[in-house]
Amino acid sequence: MRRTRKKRAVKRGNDLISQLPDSILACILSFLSTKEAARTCLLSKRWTALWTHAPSIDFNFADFIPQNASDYKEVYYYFKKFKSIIKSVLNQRQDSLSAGFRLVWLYDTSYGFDPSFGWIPQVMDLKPSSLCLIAQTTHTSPILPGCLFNCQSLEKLELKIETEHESLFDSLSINLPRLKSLDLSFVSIHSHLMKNLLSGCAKLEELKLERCELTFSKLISGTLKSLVVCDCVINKKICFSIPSLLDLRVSVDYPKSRVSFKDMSSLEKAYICFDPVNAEESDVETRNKLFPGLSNVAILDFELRGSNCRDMMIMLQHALVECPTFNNLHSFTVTGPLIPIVHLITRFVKRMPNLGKFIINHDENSSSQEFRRHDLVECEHLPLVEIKYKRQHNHVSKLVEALRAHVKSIGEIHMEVLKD
Amino acid sequence: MITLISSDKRKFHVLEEVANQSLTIRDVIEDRRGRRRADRIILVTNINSKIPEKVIVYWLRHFLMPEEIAHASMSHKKAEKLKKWEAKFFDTDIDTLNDLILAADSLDIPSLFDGACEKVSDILKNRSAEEVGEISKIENEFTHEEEEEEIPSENAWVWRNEFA
Repeated sequence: MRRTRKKRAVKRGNDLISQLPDSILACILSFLSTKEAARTCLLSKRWTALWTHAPSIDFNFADFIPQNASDYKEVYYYFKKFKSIIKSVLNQRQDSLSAGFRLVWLYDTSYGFDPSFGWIPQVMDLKPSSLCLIAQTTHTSPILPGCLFNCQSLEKLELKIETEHESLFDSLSINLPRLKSLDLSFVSIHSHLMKNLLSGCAKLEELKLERCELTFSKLISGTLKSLVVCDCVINKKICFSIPSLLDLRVSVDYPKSRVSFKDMSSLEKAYICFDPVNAEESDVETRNKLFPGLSNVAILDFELRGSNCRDMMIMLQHALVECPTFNNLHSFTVTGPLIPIVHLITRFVKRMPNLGKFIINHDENSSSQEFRRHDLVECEHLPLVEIKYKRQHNHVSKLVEALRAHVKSIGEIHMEVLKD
Repeated sequence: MITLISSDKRKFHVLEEVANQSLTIRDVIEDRRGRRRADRIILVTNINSKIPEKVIVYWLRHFLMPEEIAHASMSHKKAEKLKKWEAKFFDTDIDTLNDLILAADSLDIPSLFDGACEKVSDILKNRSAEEVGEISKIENEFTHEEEEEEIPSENAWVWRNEFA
């Protein structure tokens, strides 16, 4: 779409904004998205290139290609054009990218066009503080240059490049002394790479691994404060030993992925999601180590996915054998089908002497198992219980009944019906 | 007490602790420490009298709520109140904002600078080039051909999927 523009009637007056130096104008533009900032190129000659000097640059291919583009040639044209725009912006630029560079280049790979990454060395020369690359490619060889992992200024790195090549950066040396936050997706991380990453990023505080293949066997760090592991393929035993960790989010395909924790002495918040597949197949020994490492946690959020209650029961039975006492725990949330939850309460709650808040998110799909009263053990004190469920189920009322009967001093019980 | 003198020769008396929020003034005071009283007068020649008034109002509001406290332990309610106050403070015409930015830049007051820059970018946000041109009174020096053809087609992507 081409915009037809009326010649504007310019009021001859004091054009104050043009008195500002370029550096300040670029600072103003940095509060806008790159796309919005680029619209100012029509204002006057001075503004045509001003947006390219903003402290941060954020390109998205979806902004660039018309929504209805479907013709092969047309798509090819826009791939080329996008590449040339990136190149020309970087060529013009001398100021450092103090606020970072972000590029999203996702497009239907069936066209067979690949994003190019030849401009990365140029970006690294501009000393970015953060870099985010989200792309999809059919390349089968490593595409990322080594300079990406040897940068003095980088504090935040986000790499989500979906590629057919298994490892994006295999034998590269890594030296990112100021890196604090690392977010990786679609990467196969083996022991050697993990070791390189941790030794090369001495100040790393946040690590997020999403949809990665993890083949390392242990992660030991003294600096990490936040760790997220979700939707990863884990085929080996992994032991996490991070004494400095404050916040943990793990979702695993349990018990196939054998994850265990050790020395998590400063852990405050933990979210653990289990997706049980074939509970009986895995060996008992590794599963027992799941909870011991988490005994210091203050807020625990536990989720059970799937609908096979029998498997979950088996899994929990095994997982709880060596369950420690959670002395610091004051808020406990469970999400999942009711029967395993009731099972969990019976084993768990008595190991949480200081529990103050107990939230149950009831997400029942199919369950016909009989709820047994004697499953509930005696629990001393529980000031607040929240129960959230989708539809009225006689299990819920039975659960409340049982809680009232078995917990010696129970405070409020909030009930809330969730909408689908 | 420090005296600031604006370009139109008006005098403003400010407490040293309050004016210290400007890194430039703080450095000047630091340099002249221990000297005569006359040296406690600072000329702010590039700013007219309307702006020091606003800047001092901003200082006083922030002086009551020092930055460190603002970030670390300020209660939610107080933070909300300050936010509201700042929104009102920056809700002026673009010329005043412009002067505020220049003042904040030369006096080196980072929070004021960022706040004013953000407000200006809010004004520019979601507007077409004509509107921005009118608001900021930027003179359009493109030739008719450039305006109609070259620039829009070169940069078509910036309007794509937006003003449909």
